[in-house]
Amino acid sequence: MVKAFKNLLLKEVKSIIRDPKMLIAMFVVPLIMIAVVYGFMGLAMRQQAEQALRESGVVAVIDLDNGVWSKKFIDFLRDRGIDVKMYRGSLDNIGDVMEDLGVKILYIIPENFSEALSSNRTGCIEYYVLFKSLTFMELGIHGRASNLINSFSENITRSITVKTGYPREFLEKPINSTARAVVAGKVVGDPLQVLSSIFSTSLVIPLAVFIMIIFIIQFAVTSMAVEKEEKMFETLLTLPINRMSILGVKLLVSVAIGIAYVLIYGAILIWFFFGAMGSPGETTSGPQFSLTLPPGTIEYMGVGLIGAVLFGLLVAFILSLFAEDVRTAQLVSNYALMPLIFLFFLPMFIDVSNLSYTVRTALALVPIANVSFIPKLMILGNYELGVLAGLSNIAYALGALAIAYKIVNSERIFTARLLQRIKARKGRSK
Amino acid sequence: MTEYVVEVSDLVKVYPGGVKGVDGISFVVRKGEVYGLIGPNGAGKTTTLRILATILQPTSGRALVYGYDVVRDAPRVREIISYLPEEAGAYKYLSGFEFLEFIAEFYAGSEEEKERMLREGVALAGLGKRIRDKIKSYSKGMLRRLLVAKTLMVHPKLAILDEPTSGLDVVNAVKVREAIRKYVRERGVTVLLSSHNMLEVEYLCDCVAIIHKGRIVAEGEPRKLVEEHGVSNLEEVFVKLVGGEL
Repeated sequence: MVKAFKNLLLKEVKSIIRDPKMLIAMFVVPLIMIAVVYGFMGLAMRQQAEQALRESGVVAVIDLDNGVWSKKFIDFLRDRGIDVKMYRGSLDNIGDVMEDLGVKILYIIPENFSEALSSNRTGCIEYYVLFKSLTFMELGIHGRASNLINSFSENITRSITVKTGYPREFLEKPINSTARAVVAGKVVGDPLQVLSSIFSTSLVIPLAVFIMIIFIIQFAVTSMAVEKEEKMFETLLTLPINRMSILGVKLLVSVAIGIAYVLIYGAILIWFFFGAMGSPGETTSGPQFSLTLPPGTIEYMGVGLIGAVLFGLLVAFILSLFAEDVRTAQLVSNYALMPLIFLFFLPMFIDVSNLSYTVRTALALVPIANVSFIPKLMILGNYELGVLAGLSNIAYALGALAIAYKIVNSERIFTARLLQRIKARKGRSK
Repeated sequence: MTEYVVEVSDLVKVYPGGVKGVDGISFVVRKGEVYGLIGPNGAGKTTTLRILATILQPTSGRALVYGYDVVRDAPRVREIISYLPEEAGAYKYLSGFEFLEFIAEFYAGSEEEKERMLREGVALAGLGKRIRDKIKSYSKGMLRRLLVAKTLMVHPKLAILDEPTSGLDVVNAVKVREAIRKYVRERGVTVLLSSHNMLEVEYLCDCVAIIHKGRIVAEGEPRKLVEEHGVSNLEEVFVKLVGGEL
């Protein structure tokens, strides 16, 4: 049995590597497209960031204060290599003024700015950012304009710290806050972290797996349809091999390629976000699931996802029996997947807390898509429904396996041709 | 042990929609015999062979291969048969040799046996150096010869060949026929084949059954059938039996 399995596996790998149809359409093209799209986006964003830095290198200042602190601010800008254009004319149309001066940032230092700071009161600098192209680059210009004021502000804090001896943290933020989210009557952690945990676990992670499921299903269906297209299916059914092994090999190869696909896709994504857009150190730390999610959430999501992958694959296999060629196979699987895609995004729009227990139970039983509901259900205290959602996918997978087993070991594996029957029926009705 | 390689009795196959594939046929195939099912398209030849190859299941009746029921003991039957479908193909991105190796791997008990099967397969296919080329570069005749080779090289107890020369030109058809004839005579393989080419069947078979509309209308040795009906060949026997109904 192991020998036959290995033989089938080797054949599958050879066919995939050598068949341009499989290799190009299912693997190379999507990866090249992803790499090109992200590469292009990364390059464009880098260029725009550089342009933003260039364009924010010249600023205009209207100094209505003419005091010691306004001079210090202007010197601070110049010390940073910024070309400061002083403007003393009319301000009837700020846009025209900025256009005429050829700047994207205009600072207005109001009267009494120095007096306020000297008497330990907060000073205010008004700034304008000229938005013309409405691109990502202008977001960078705005960031630069704001950062320059913040840096100047920090300098002032530092000098006060030195002068007074007060701790800098105290001067910067005399009052701190600790936030806790209350969900379903329980204190569960920082609100931002809770939301980001839920977002990550109920959307981002399942979405990555869902992309993998779609890819695997497409691949499994195509791989089975290729057997029919190459007219090997009939021969394959009469070989001295357990028919479930044929199914097993197809599923194994599909899952392996699906995982490889997601890993490569993930690597490109990481390269894009951390390489092209900035270093990982600049990003905020990710959600700490253990702090915010009830125990068992991740485990049951894992169980649910494994069940979802297996269920999707077995459904794909059953569907592939109804197709005679690759095109029909992909068409059939697309139709089957569409409702699942719709259901998958439901958690984004549904307020689970307002739903009755019966509806929550129904959502927990929706195959594949129910994985996205697990964290919400668990956090809301419906622990048993989270468990039900996770385990139900395993049950669906077992059910689909039983159906697949029955089909594989009967003549239906050969005679199931849904589309042909539909066509024949249509033909008869004409 | 049963004296027959194949025993078919009162076999009926009704497809969904009520179409009858075969309608109560019975026949036996003895060991070492080349048995031919002949008849026009749609007569029930392929349905019978598919039932014996464990692809389809009969609606009623019984089909045994070496005493094994094709439904109940299907996995056991698959171990002793080798089947060539009428519309068979092969993995076009494998070479002819790799394809033979792929098939041999399922049947061979040892490396030596596999090597022997491959040697015989390569000889049977008669493709010379082209055996190392990708199957996608083969002509229809070359592919059919490769498929006949893969069916016979594994030394099955029963080889089932559905229209082995279907769609081939005269030269390739003769080559395939010669390969089958030579191999079965040398190895004593039992063969059940179907064809609508009466002359081919007359050349290859020890015994034939003429099928028409899912029923056997005549059975026996080709020469005896010809003599019994006072005609000069099987084609004329067939026309005499069912010609008026075609």
